[in-house]
Amino acid sequence: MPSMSRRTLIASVAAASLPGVLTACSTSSGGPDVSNAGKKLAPWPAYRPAKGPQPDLAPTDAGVQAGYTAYPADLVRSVARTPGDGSTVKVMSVSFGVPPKPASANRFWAAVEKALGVKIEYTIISQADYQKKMATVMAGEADALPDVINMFSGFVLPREAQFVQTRAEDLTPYLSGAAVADYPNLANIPTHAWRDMGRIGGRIYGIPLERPLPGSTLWINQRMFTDAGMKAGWTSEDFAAVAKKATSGHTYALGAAQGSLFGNAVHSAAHHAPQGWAVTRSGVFQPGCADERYKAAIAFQTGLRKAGSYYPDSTSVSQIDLTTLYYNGTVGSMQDGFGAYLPKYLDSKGKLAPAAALPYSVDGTPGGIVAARRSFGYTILKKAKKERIELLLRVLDYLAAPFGSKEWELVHYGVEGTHFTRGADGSPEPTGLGDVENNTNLPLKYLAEGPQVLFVPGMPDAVRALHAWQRKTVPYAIRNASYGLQSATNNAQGTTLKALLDDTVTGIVAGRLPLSEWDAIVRKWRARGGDRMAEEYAKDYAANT
Amino acid sequence: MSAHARPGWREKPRPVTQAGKGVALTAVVLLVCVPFLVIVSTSLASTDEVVDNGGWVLWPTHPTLKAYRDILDGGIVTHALGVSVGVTLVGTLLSLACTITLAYALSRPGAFGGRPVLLLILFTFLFPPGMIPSFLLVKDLGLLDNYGSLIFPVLVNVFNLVVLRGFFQGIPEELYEAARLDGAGDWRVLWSVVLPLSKAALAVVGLFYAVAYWNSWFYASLYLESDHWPLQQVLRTYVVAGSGLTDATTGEGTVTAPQTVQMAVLVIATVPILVVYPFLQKYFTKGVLTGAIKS
Repeated sequence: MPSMSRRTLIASVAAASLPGVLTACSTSSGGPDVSNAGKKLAPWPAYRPAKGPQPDLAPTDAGVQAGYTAYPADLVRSVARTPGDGSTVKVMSVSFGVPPKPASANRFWAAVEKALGVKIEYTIISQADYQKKMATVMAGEADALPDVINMFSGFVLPREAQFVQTRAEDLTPYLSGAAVADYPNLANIPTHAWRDMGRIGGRIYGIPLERPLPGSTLWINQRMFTDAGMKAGWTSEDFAAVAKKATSGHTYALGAAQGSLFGNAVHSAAHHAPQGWAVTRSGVFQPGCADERYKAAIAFQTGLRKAGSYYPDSTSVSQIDLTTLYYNGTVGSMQDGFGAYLPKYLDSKGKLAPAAALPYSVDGTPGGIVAARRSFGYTILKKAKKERIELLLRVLDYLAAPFGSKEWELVHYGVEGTHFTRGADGSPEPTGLGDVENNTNLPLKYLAEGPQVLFVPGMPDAVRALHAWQRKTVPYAIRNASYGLQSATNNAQGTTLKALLDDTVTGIVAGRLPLSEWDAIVRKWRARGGDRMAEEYAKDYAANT
Repeated sequence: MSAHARPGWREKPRPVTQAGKGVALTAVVLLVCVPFLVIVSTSLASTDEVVDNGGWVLWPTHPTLKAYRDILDGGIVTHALGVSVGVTLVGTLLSLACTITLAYALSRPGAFGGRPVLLLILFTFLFPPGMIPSFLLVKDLGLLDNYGSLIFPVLVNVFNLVVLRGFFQGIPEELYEAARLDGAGDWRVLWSVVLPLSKAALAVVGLFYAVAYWNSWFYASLYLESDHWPLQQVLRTYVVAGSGLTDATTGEGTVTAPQTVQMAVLVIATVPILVVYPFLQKYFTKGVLTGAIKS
């Protein structure tokens, strides 16, 4: 067996000790300076909406999505020419599906390759392995990196910004300001997505995956809640009363999954507590956990639990099992991302009428909703010559085609007649092959994607209901002020510190800890790094505004 | 047990005791079997029936193989099954060969460098390498995206080595001497004397290796591209698919594989090793204990 080279050994030891070092030296960022403070900031790419089919329900600047009650009949072409030159492009992204059939036997893959004019070598990372796989990718050599890498937003990777800054191509010259016009579909990505992705050291390194404004949402069983007395303009007291009334026998009004802190996001937003971080006019960052309204939300949830309204296994049931319990009526509600509306409506057909709950008001103030980060991760490119970068950006421009374009249809549904057929209303319906070969299993949508719209195939009423819900709630969305900002302490210790708070919230609502414990835990959290995070965010915020 | 098997000194058991034992044993058997039954039944049920029953089905009303068809269609799982069988067979054979020869050498008194080598091996037992050093080593050996990466880094398991070494040391010294007097070299002694006497230990160690190779999934995700993944890693993606999308800050929703598919996955992952188990089980206790309590 060949022996390890000295360099490898040293690299190994250094890499192995990295997490420890990070925790120990969290006061200094170390390595390259990723902060935007004191840097000349590259202008965000100039937003230019793409031309396409007119939506039936108009979007608003505040963040209400465009709604399509029917699939557009006349699809547009959003890309003028084949982006590739026949070369091979290595890509890597997270996946929430199962591995795709190999390229040689996959007609979806082949069709996309033909349209893009490149051969795609795809490294799939199952989301469950994402952190570990990325640790090895980041420890490897720069040459070994794939050409296109999706940085998934679900986890905080240690020194992610530093990795991006040293290993990825600076895309500022290609995308900043008017330069993005060369890639019309990338120019169609709204500025809020770029902003929530953020700059690193003042520069633009990635392409964001745009997401709608509403984040965690309370999905209710409409009939169960209406029967129990849900009404427009309800208050927190009404909510508690409805939850209690809808609960009987083995039916529970409130379902919550492990790790959701009894659906804390929805309740703290209804209580108008800052989601993560709030920023004052003078630029001071205040943590949500130290806000009295957040504490009030915990107390309110504790009351709901004491009243027996929560499903008893709310600290241990998985989100997957909870979804089953929601569909069969065991629980009357569950917290899930807003993006879950598609499976919620399609999978519950014939069982129940799902709906996004309007937030209740607290002490006369209308309830808020959680604003999601508008960028669900971002895509970076390996350093390369100008021509190569331009080719890769053209490929991503194709993948970012907007809804209502031929390119969008190909990337999302495959080839007509092979992967999908047209339903009565013209919307694509997957064939048997489309169930296996699709963009869940070949997750091109995590490399680049156009702005998302509201569309539920064959269910125009659902689209209208969701659009109406957004119009009512979007003005009260509460955004985490730290989105798109850099904090070295958060990069290094964010996960540990968050766990400290999360465990306590769960403990209090579950009745294992008294509410009086909360203030002490917040002080501990502040001392261990929370205050430092506030300073770092404030500094980065000041540099960005 | 039939009545005549009862020893003469033992009283005839009372019917109540017999019944109590029967009930207790039935309860234990049910505790073991019912979960298995539920898994198999759920995998054979329709998605709607599973949802209506709250996630689990004890006896499907309209059994269907749809979940199995969903998994096996497309050839990914069948290919992965081939990979797993190949890696398990080749890996087990290579591991056994290396462990046997190393254990034999270390079991002989006065073998050159025996003690330092043993200490070196035990050191890796106490301080196993971390994920990133292992990755860098595999990369430098040129084993990335190579099935060898699933075998070579775990070729010799220290626990198995110690068990086998102990077993070899338990073989009477006289047998070695007799073989030597007959002119046998080390290879001949190992092949004709030691191995035939160690079948029990070999069966156990072989089973340990086989189960470990069969079950291994984690390193595949680090070292191999997804079209080379073994069965367990592929099946795992069916189980965990969508489960990570619950993060409150992302608007992304949960999309999951149906429970029927997940249970079918469990059946496919478990059955092959369950089939092998009974044939090797009889060696199990004997093999492990003999190695462990050498006098």
